[in-house]
Amino acid sequence: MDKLTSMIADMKLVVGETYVIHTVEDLLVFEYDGSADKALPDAVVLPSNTTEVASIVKIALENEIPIIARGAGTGLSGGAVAKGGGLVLSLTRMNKILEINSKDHMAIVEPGVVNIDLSHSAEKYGLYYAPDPSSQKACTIGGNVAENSGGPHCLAYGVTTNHILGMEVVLSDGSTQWLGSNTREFQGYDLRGIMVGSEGTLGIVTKIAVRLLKKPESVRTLLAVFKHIEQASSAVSGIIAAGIVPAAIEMMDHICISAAEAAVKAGYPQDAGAILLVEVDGLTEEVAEETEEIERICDNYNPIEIRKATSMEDREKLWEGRKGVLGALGRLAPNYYLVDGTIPRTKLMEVLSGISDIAKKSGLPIANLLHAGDGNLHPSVLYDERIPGQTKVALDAGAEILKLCVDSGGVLSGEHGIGLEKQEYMPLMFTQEDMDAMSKLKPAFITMDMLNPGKIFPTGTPHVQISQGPAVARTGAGAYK
Amino acid sequence: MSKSYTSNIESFKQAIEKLEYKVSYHNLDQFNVLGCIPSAVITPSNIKELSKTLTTANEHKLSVSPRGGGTKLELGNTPDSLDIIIDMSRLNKILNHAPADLTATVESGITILNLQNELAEHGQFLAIDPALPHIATVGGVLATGIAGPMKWQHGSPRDTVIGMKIVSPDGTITKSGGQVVKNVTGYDMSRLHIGGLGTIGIIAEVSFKLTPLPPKQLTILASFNSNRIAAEVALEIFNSNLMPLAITVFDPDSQDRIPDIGMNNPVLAIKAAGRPATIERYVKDSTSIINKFGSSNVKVLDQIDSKPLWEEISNFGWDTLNSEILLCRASVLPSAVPNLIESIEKFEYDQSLIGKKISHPAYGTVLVEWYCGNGPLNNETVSTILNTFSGLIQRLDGSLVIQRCPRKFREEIDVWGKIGSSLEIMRRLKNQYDPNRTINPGRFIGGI
Amino acid sequence: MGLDAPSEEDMYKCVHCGFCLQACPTYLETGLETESPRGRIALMKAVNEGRIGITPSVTRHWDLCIQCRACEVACPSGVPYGKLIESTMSQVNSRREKSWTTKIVSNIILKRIIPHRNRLLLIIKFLRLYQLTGIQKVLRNSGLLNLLSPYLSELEKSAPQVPATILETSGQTIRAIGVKRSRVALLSGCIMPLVNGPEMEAVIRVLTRNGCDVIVTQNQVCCGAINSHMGDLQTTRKLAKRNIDAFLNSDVDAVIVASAGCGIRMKEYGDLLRNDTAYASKAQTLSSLVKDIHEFLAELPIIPPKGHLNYQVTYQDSCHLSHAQRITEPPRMLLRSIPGIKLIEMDNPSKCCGAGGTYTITERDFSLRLLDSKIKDIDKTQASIVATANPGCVIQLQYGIKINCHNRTVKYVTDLLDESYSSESTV
Repeated sequence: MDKLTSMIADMKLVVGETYVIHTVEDLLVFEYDGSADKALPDAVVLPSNTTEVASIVKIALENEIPIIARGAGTGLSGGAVAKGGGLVLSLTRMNKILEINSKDHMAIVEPGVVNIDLSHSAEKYGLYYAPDPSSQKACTIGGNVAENSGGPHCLAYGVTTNHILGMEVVLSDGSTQWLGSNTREFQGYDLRGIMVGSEGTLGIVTKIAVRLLKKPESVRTLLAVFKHIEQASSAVSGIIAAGIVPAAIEMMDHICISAAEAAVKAGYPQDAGAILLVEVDGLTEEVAEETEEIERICDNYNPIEIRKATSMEDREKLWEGRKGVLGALGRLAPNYYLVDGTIPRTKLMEVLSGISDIAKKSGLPIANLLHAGDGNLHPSVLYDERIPGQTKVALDAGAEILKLCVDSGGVLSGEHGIGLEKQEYMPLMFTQEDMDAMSKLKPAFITMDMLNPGKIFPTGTPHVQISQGPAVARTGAGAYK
Repeated sequence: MSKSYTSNIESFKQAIEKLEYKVSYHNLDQFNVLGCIPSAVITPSNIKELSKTLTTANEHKLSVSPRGGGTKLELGNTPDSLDIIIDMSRLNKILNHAPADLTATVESGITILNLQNELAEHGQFLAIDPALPHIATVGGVLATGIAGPMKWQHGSPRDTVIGMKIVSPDGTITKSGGQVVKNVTGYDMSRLHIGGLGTIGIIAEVSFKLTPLPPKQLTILASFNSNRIAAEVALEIFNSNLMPLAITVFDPDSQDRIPDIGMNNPVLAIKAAGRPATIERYVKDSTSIINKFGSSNVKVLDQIDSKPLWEEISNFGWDTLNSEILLCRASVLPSAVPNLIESIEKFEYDQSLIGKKISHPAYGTVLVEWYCGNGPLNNETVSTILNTFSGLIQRLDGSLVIQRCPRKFREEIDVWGKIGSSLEIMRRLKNQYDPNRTINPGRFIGGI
Repeated sequence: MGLDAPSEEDMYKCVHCGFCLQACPTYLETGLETESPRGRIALMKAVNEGRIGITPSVTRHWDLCIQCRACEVACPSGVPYGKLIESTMSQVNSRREKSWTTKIVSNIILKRIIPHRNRLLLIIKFLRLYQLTGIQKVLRNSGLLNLLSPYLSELEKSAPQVPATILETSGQTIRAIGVKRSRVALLSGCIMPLVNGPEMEAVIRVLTRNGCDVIVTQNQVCCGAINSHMGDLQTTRKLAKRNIDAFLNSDVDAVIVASAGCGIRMKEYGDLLRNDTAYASKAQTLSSLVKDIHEFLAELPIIPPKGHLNYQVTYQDSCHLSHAQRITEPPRMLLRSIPGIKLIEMDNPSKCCGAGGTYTITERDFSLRLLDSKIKDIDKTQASIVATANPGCVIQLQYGIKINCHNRTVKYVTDLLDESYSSESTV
């Protein structure tokens, strides 16, 4: 019996026959996440509790096979892709909300709990879980912890790390630890803070204590349409300068607008060059005072139109175009390469014009969708992988955008993580010493580099995985015929 | 003292003097850390000098302790050894403040007050309000992780940091994070240093996320028959739609430093901020909650009048040179605070002790400074207090840190309390980043 | 066969973002990526790329898809999943060894019986006889069915009660009451007029009460939904063409469909016959005329009924109405228009009940698991009536309520409208 076969047999004893996946046909659906990277794992296991996770980790350790923890597989940087094979440990079955403590505004959940399900369950106590990545209807809290996910409403409320109190972790020797606490303060190094955003390289999170917030008494959404993107970004600066930190400030450029318009018919004016979506929440008085001021600021920049909404349905209508836009980009081109750099807010105009230069140079359109309030850009390079060479052009344009972001005082990733997608770009931001200092964490967590190896840090080989194209890789077009 | 040690320190001094760094051998006892007196005080003027100083100390196997304003030197265990103090006071520049970005990057030796003054000119502030802001430095506050009452809404100091430059014990300069408010590029290394008491590297530069100064600010005060009820009202506010900057409960009778606010019984102080109509709403809703709990003694102070009060709340336990006090900081779940306060009071009554208390119920923090009515605490009392108190906190699943403690008891206890098996990870961390135990040896949890 | 291969272009619209996962009943039930829309498309792609063959373990994952199309609603990229799985199944079915149940269903019931009204009528009459004469009781008590096959026994229990009324489809016109507002044709369907005769008559009464002349078009046949669900697109096309010929001759403003599954099938005739030179444009025309009954009444708009009905009602979205046709508000609006009715929303109203056309026969275990969780959600509402819009859902829910011994009834939304209208006249 080879190592893998015996390991599979051992794992079946732990989690049962159904939850060890090892046939090629079944492994195929675990080769991807939400990113462009793909790699076939050697096996997939779906444990149902911490004890099973610990047993699986020990089995993997004995067999010297790396473990790649996986949530819903919605990540956008290849964090859950088993580069070089290995055992994918899927946590989707660990999806129980163990406790909602309404008095103390906190909850304890298993990692497979879907982000929005937690908010839905907390709703009856007037509470919610603040970080709201766009994939919140599908992504898991465990995945959010691994990637330190953000979302449109992180402007006022902070990203995942600001909402995590503590967690139970299985280290790669199979031992189980609580890091942090349920209380706001704890002693010693902030190990839970280090775990958040460590992309599954330090331990496997099996329980998470999160902070919940009170649902705001009032929410108002304002949509301002501008003829030029310059006006929209000046309005953003104006709002921040006025001392207002809204719950969210989102911006879309004209390419996104026309795509969204085609998809959901949100009724945006034809000559719209940029759209701002601003959401304010809090006390009724606070919301009224702040929206009034935001409206006044937007008015200074000659908007074509300003729409406001307070009811749930009307707000959803305003958000509809924004939420559907990524999917809608598919109408303009079969592929897009979504970049995730963050820049200082003041560099917005400068960087946007740089991106437009890159678009011209590459000959590919670049759609700009941004969390403008916190400077998190999502430029999407539109391309068609079926056209030979175009993937590389798109990839190069993306790299140039990342470089531009870093040169402007920004960073490689605002909320998607480094994973496989951006690991080779790390030297743009960090020296070898910086990265060595980060890598020293691994021995402290006794990972022996068996947890999600080969991620985050550069390997020295150029990132070409994005060029995986079905059109390119296809060998049996006649399979169905 | 061994011969090799003496020669090490001598050759270190020579090396440093050769570099012409600012070094002092005078009044060294003033720079003592919990009674340990250094052999030299180096005051680097930039990050390079800081780095070189550490490299040199590390090479000579000497122990180093960074010092900011020196306001919280009482925190932590007694150092295993101490040779060099690195005085950070000359690394005090604001490197970059981009008001429109709501971010700033500063050297860690700048005092909190100087930074806040500069930010205020642009209508912004850093959302922390630690003790003695005119002395305390950014680096010191972050290394101790102890800020003031304004943490409920804005989180703890760790929630304001977006990037850091660290000098490792061997002198390597590394950075993590960046100067933008949303960033997941690489591990969030700054987390290790905030509250890490400098044990794995010295914080040299910090980038912060800033907050706009609210247009208006005021404080609502109300007095109650007991601390317990005041804490319950605080939790009622916590559960309401209001989000004040701070909610604090204290007993003016036992607080000699707190300015006279014309109230004697336990007081609840609510710091509210916002635009006019918002502020009005805070006053209205708070008052009605306060009335519901049977108090009609409500007072509203404007920002200027309330300033001394909040300063004293921040300073609680730290604005004294008396090293013989016992200051405990408990962190429990918010809902456990009223009971905890009541249990403490009962204990005090039974033991004829007096404990000054300040609590931030919405954050679950209770601070107690114990003293005897008639003189210093004796051994027996201290151990009774610590046994009882830590047992109490343990049952509540909370944590307890002894922030200040009479020197003679320090040898018997770990002021950081006990944690579970994650201490092993922490030991390995120290070993990874400071294998020679160069910085602050022995001062952190578990003797790290 | 090439005609029915899943479209490569549609397949590669999927960027595997995973937004569909939580919408998929089989994923939610198993927690397995293999039983998710994204996983099923990945397998389609892998077959297309020649990485794997169409092996039994691959088809197993496609078979388990209930084709509720909830994933289409969740998909930001507009992947036409329904179309993909339908054409994939068509490829699969043409090449595999079928199980005996599938054989009976696809070869005998779907090809030989349903398309032929006379044969269907005979069977239905037999079923009614069986249920009425007491043979059913005797057989059930004897345990013979159980002995023969527990599966058959299970299935027998979920067969609907057959009523005496059978809707004629002889091209008759039923005149509008009051001012005439529209002239519509009604799809009588294959099984509906036989097992849901009274309910179909209620539909006609509601339409005429709303000022519509209703023509029950002659020569119409089964819409072909069940055939395409099983992957038999050839038969579906034959049926579609016969319906196109029948309906396009009747000069109407709309073709009304009271069954959600049939509605979406007919709305997609245009796509089904897009490569058929003779029928492509006619198919488009018919598709654009097809209106779901709730959609039609809401747009008309409905003349609000005045008869008071003191019911607590919960509404189950039929997958083919809410996901495939994206019609969720009109049926609720109609329910709310009835005086006295209190509409209580259940948790996950748009999650599939497990009926899924022939799914309830071919994937019995899974179908019952889904039904079980649906019944639990219904139970929490305390409503006395479960309203829905599709015969498959009605039968499935009735069965679920029966085995759980609940005191509830399942009704079409149009039944409730009819009841309210009819109690008006007595006031």
